Amino acid sequence: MKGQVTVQFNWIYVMVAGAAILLFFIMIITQQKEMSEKRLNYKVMNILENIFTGSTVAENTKNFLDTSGVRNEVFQFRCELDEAGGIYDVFSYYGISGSSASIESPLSVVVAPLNVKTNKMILWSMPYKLPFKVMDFLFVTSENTKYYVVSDGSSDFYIELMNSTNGLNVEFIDNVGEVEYNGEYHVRLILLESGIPFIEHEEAVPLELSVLNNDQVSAVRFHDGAVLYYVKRGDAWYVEGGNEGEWTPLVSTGSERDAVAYAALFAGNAETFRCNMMKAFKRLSLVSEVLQDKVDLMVGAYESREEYADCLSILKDDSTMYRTLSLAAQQCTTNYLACGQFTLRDQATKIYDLNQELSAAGCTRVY
Amino acid sequence: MILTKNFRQRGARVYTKAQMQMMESLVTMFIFFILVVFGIIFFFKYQQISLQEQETEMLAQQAIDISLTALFLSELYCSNGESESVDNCMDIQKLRGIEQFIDSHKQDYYFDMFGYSGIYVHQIYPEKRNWTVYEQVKTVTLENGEKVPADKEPTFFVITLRNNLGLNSSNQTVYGEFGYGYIHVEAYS
Amino acid sequence: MRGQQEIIGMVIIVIMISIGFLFFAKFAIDSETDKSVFVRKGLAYSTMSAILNTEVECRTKAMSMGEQILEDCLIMAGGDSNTCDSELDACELFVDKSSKMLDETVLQWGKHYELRVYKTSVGSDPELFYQIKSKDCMRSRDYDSSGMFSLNLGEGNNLLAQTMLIICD
Repeated sequence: MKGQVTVQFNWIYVMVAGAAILLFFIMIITQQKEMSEKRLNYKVMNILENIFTGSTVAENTKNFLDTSGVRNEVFQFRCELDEAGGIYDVFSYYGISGSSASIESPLSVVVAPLNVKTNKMILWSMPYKLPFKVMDFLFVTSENTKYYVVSDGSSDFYIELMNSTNGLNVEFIDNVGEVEYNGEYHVRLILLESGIPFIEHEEAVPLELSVLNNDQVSAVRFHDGAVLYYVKRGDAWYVEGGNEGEWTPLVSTGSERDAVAYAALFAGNAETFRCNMMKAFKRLSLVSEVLQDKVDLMVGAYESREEYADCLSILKDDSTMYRTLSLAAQQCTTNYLACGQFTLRDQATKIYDLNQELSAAGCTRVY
Repeated sequence: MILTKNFRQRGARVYTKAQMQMMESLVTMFIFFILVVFGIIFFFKYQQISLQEQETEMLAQQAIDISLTALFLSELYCSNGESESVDNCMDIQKLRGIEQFIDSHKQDYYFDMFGYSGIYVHQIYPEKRNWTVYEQVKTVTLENGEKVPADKEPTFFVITLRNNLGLNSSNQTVYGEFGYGYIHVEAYS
Repeated sequence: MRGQQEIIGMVIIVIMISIGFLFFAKFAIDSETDKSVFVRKGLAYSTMSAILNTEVECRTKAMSMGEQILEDCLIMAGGDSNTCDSELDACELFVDKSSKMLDETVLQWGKHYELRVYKTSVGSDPELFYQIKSKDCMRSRDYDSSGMFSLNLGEGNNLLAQTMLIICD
C-alpha cells in the first residue's frame, strides 16, 4: 500500500516538473524565433540599402535580386509630401510591411510600386539629366509585377520601351481588352499617347482584372508631356483626384532614355512620383549652384587671358543661367504644381545650347 | 536493547553506503550545473564577439556606402558633355568652392547624405593640394569629461583629378589636364 | 573511488572542450571583412585607371602616361632619351612616375603593389615587358587585380599594350 502511493506520487511530480520544463523551453524557443525574424528583417533591409546604394552608382544597369528567402514579406515603398505639398518635411522610406525594419530615404530617388512581394526583385538605375546629370534614379520592380503597354504603336516612347524593357515583365498590346491575368501580384497598365483615351474615369476595368483587389491594379496615362494616374475601385477605373484629375507634368528635356518618363511609369501613384521628382529638384538646385560657381571661376580665369576671348564672350552671353535654373528648381521643391516646369525646361535648353557652343568653339565645357 | 557487534557493523556499512550514494548524486548534479554554466558562458561570449563583429561590419559597410556616394557625387564628377563621364574622376574647378558650399547646405541636405564622416581629396601629381569636401566629426565624452573623436574607419581610393582650365593653385599655366590623387573617407562609428 | 575518478576525468574533459570552443569561436569569427576585399579590388582598378589617365607636362603640351608615354616605351623601345626634359627615356619616365604615384598612395596605406606591363600581338601570348613592384603580390594569399587595361599601339599595328595592377596586403 505504502509502495503504491509512492509510485503514483512520483508520476505526478514527474509530469508537473516535465510540463514546466517543456513550457520553459517552448517560451525560450518562441522568443528566439521572434528575435530571429526581427534580426532577419533588419539584416534584409541593411543588405537592401547597400544594394540600392551600389545600384544607384552603376547607372543604366539592371540588377536582378533573388529575394526568395523573403518571398512572403511585403516590401513597401513610400514617399509622402508634407502638408503644404512640399518636401520640407518629406516622409520617405522603404521597408518590410508590418515590421519596424525600414530605411528612411529623404534624399535618394527610389521609384517603385507601393507594395512588392516577390521571389525576384529588379533594380534599374538611370541618370536624370536636365541637361547635365543631376542624380541617378533607382527603379524597383519585380518579376511578378506585370506591365501592359497599351499603344497604337505610333509614339517614340513605345518603340523605346520595346528595346529598353528586356528582363521586365512587359507586354505590348494595342487595346485594353487584351489584358489577361496570370496570377501576378500587381498589374499596371501604361497608356501611351493616343487620339482617344484608352480608359476613362468610371469606365469598367477589364473582366480579368475586376476580380483582383483594388490595390493590385493601377494605370498611368501619358498625354502631352504629363501623366494621369488611375486606381481601381470595385469594377471601375477612377482618376486619382476625381473626374478631371490632376495631370502631373513631366519636367525633362524629353530626350531618349528620359528618366522622368520611366519614373512616371514605375511610380506607385501620383504622390510618390511627385515626391520623388521634388527630391530630384532639390538636388538639381544644389548641382546647378556648383556649376554656377564653376562658370564664375571660368569667367574670372578667361578675363585675364586674351587667347580665351572667344570663350569668354560665349560665357558672358548669359553667365547666370545656372543660378536661374537653381532658383527655379528650388521653387519646385515647395509645390510641384506651382513649379514653373516650363522655366526649368527652357533654362535646361539654354544651358545645353551654351555647352554645345563652347564645345564647338574649342572651349572648355561647363558640364 | 543490546546491539550485537555484527549488527552495529552492518548498520555502519548501510549508513556509509547511503552517504556515498547521496554524495554521488550531489556531485553529479554539481557537475551538471557546471556544464550548464559553461554552456551559458560560452553562448554569451559568442554573442558578445558576434555583436562586436557585426558592429565592425556595419561600420565598414557604412564606410563603403559613403565612399561610393562621394566618388560618384554629381557635384564633383568629371562630366563629358553628352558622352559618358570619366571614371573615378573629380573636377578641380568644382572642388574649389565645394567645402563652403557643402557646409552651407549641411543641415538641410548633406548631413542626411554623409552623416558623421569626413571626406578629403588630395592631389599628388602634378602638385600637392588638399580639399575638404565634407566634415562632421562625431565626438564621445570620456569618463573624465573629456571629448574625443569617436572611432573611425578610413577608406582610400585613388582618383583622377581633372583641371581643364589649365591653371594651378598659383594661377600659373599648367599643361596636363589629368592629375593623380586620392580620396580619403572617414566614417565615424 | 573509481566513480570519483571518472567524474574528475569528465570534468577535465568538459573544461578542455569549453575552452577549445571559446578559442575556436574567437578565431573562426575573425575573418577578412567584405570591406577590405571590396576596397582592394576597387583600389586596384581606380589606381590603374588614374595612372594611365595622368598627363605629364611635356614642354608646352601634355603627354598621357598610358596612350603616349607607354606607347613610346613599347613601340620605340624608349624613344627619346630625354622625354619631356626629364633626362629619361619613355620607359624610364613611365616607371619613375608610376612608382612615385604608387609609393605615395598604395604603399603609404600599408598595402603592396605589382604593376605589370605586357606587350601582346594578335595571335600570340602576352609577353611580360616590365614589372614595377614593392612586393611579389602573386605569392601572397590575399591579393586583388585591376583586370587588364588594353591600349592599341598605333594604327595599322597588331600590337597591344596591356597593363595590370595587383594590390596585396
